[in-house]
Amino acid sequence: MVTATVSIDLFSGRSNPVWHLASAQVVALLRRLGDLVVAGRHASFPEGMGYRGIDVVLFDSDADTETMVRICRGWVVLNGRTLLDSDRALELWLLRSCPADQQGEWCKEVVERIEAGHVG
Amino acid sequence: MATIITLDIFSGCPNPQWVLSPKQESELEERMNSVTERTDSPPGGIFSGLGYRGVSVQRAESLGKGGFEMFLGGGILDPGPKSANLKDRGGELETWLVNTAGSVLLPDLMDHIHQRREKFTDILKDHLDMVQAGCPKCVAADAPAYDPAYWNNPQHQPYNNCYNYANNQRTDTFAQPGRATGKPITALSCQGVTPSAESDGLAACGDFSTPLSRGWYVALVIWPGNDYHWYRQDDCGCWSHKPGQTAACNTDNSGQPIVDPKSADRGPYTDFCTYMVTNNGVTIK
Repeated sequence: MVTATVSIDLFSGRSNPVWHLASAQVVALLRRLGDLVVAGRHASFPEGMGYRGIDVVLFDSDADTETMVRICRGWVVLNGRTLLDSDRALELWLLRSCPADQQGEWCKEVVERIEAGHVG
Repeated sequence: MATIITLDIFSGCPNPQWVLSPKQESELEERMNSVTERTDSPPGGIFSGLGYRGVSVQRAESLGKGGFEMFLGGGILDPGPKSANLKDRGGELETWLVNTAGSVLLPDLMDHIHQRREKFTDILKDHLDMVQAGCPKCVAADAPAYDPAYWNNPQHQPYNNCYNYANNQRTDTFAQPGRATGKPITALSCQGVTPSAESDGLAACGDFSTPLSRGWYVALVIWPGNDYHWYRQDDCGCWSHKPGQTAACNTDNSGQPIVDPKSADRGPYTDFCTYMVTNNGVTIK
């Protein structure tokens, strides 16, 4: 069985928002990851203050393996490969998967900025 | 008259060494003659820590020819204490010297050196940027030195935040204002965070110009409703910070040196609350 833990690399003082995806969401995530195409160049992720990207840890309990995924700016880095997240669809889907008890003003702000075409 | 090249790279094992051929020695002399531009900058490698730090050249005195010893790192040639440092433009001399190693160095080691040298150039640029930025004078007796290597390592970087960094206390607890003294943050606003910091022992102040015989200056800013952030003034006069789990750095969101956090690019942390004074006796967790 595969589980997925999502964390948003966002805050400075507070701990970053972290949540677990439901089983159906994990299946959808794996399908989305499988549909991505390989990018022609290396990813470049934002640094500094504010939203810096999404980290997903996939844990396969059968194989006892952990896979790290980094997502931001239309890039997805998975197993050392850079993939293209066209229209940042996967990134927005993950942000919207945030449960209500983790949501704050940040979620709305980040989604709005991405939808408005901001890079960070 | 052997010219010995030593790579300054290892910690436990002996550093790799090799001897230049007579032809390479002649070429070295020619190349050294073209390095003449003086600089006040130190060799980039001295900033670095573990891994490749630079390359040293030693030639013993012999029959009519003087000996010498020099060190190259990050595009700077240090000919020793009696002469000024020189700019090795584009790191050409350093590159040439490293490449004279031939088969002495394994390809993996060579890759590591190239990666590190690119980093040195960045560090040196940061250093020069700080000098040129016109940092304000630091008048706080205990202001910490900017030492990102102390924070930016896998054992500590993820577990210390801006509050740890500003107070210069690596607790590995992702410290929160007021948690150590039972007065947690009440809201993500200036009014909600400042009393918690005061409870820990920090004291608000109007600016950072009053000489302090104890402690140093920090500054609190807020991303309204979402988060807070702290900066600290280092002994060089400019400010630095550690945004959450990310690396400590001394530039703002626009990549500029932080002369004053009030005027720096702070991203979404739009509310500047106050400067404060902290000291080594403050308790955080």
